[in-house]
Amino acid sequence: MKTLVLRTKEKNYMLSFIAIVIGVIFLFPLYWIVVSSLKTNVEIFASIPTLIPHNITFSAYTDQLTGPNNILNSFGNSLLIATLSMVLSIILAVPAAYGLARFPMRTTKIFIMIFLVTQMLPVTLILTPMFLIYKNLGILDTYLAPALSDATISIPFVILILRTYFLSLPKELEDSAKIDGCSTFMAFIKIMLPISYPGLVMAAAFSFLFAWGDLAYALTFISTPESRPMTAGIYNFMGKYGTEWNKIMAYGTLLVLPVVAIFVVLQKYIVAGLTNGAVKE
Amino acid sequence: MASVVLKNINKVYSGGNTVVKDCSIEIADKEFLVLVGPSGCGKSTTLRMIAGLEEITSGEIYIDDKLVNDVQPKDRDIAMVFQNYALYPHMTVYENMAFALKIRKMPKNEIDDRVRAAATILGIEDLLERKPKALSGGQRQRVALGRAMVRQPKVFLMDEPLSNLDAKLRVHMRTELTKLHKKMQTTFIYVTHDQTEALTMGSRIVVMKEGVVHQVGSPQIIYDQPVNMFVASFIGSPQMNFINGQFILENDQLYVCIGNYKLPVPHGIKKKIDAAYFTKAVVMGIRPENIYDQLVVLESFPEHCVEAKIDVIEHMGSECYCYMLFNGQQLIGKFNGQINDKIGDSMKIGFNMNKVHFFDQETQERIIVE
Repeated sequence: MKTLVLRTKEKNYMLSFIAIVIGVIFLFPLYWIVVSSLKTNVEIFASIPTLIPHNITFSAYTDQLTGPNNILNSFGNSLLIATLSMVLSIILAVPAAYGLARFPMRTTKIFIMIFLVTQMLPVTLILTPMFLIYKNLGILDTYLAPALSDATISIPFVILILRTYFLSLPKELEDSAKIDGCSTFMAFIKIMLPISYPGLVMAAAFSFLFAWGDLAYALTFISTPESRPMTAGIYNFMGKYGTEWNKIMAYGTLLVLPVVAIFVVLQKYIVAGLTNGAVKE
Repeated sequence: MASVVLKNINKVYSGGNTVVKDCSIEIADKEFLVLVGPSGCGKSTTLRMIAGLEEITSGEIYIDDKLVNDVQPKDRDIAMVFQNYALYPHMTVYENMAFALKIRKMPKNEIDDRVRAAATILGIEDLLERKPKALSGGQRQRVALGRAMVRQPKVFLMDEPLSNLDAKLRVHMRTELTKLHKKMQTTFIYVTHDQTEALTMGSRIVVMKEGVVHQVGSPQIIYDQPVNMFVASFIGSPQMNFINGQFILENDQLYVCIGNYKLPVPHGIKKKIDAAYFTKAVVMGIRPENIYDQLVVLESFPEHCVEAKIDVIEHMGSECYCYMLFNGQQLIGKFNGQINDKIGDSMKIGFNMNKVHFFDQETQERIIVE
């Protein structure tokens, strides 16, 4: 059999083509959401679907801002829950990750295993026990309940990522700080934290996005409709008399907008943060 | 300014891996002591134990007659320069140098005075507002030194501070450091794997291998009277030649027999050798510069001459290194000028028998007792 030998240029074309196809597959749903949000309900169900809307209408968006299910309210809820969860996970995960990176213990591997295992537990499995705990604590139907639960997902992830990040930092910096007059804790605060800000930004962004995209916890723990975050509000458009698709799409667009914004602004940190710890220099 | 005393220091890592074995060194005030050895010999660990960055398994460390085993690094009044400089990347040069003083809550104007004084000595006044990222290797090195200087510590510790610099800069910084030591009048403890640095900078050298101190002494003593074959081979470049031979005593004249050659051992050296060795097999050590190729010398000492086959010739400009095969063993000679013979040719060379060393074949210890 004759083997096909590709030259570098041909290889590049092939790989680019594959990358474009995969990119299109991933981005098409997003495109469809945005385009549908600009169509009328009639056009959405046209027998020949239109890739570009014939009549662009922003009514689906303007409707979100008025009326009883005001999007600004649920946006505020989402923001609050995500921020709270982010702050919680950063405060807890950063020292934990640093400890695991810097202080050798026999149990380090076991800890890391436990973090990995908790990552694998399905959300539905822990919903009921969490519900009971929160009920006893009296924090059901408050922002704290979903924020705490979201943090339980992001903390192990952030610890694992930040640990490798801290491992990649030269230990001499801490030694040097200690000789210069710092205690271990002071060296951590004054030297190690400031220089690991790309990792911290990445960790913060991830824990924020985890909480931002959560639906199960918010639906389970918050019963007052006005307190629910954006993800839970998407049900409001599925009424008794049908679904208002263009409004759902507009809502979806607004929901992913902060996610996209965060990724665009912090992209260099996120990519650097994810790869930084990967290879030890 | 302080003396440092290490008493029977041991360092054993979990898992039973011994890195430093029973190390005892006394370092006098204002001394420039160099710890030298191949990588993994425990020299850096020893330095880190003096700094307090590494715990001591057993033994005692005194700085200025004060036991510091349980004293935190920050309270030992030491400063350290690291191999990778360890400058704080988020601070400017000025902030880097002022950091330790700020932590110690020194008044601002005094910090400023000290930082600027150190910067002037090191010639980095124009760099004070820059971040480490914007500095070259040599400049970073100076900042790292400056950061240690402003502290005015009792002891200066340096962990291979020049090994990240290029060869030319390294030579330059070597003299700078020696000058700095003179100017500062402080105890310097310097770790390096480079024997040239050790010989040129140290007022005393400690040669270590596998966690054991092999010899402590002035550069000249270490070079002229190495206690064993390891020290002899490690110090000096190109390294000392070792030739297996056999002592023979004839009419009160000691000879060392190598192959068909019988080289007379001068009486001055013979006097210093235990008579028990006079019939034994030994290792003769001779440094490359003590092998001659000049005709004048060869004709004056015909009994010290042998024939060797040229293997490789390395021209170094003012001199050349000649790798030769002699009696099945490789020899390196360091000759002035050019060699006219070609590779594969036989060449007549002479040994300076007043400069030879003898070692026990089994223990590899020096058998000439001074």
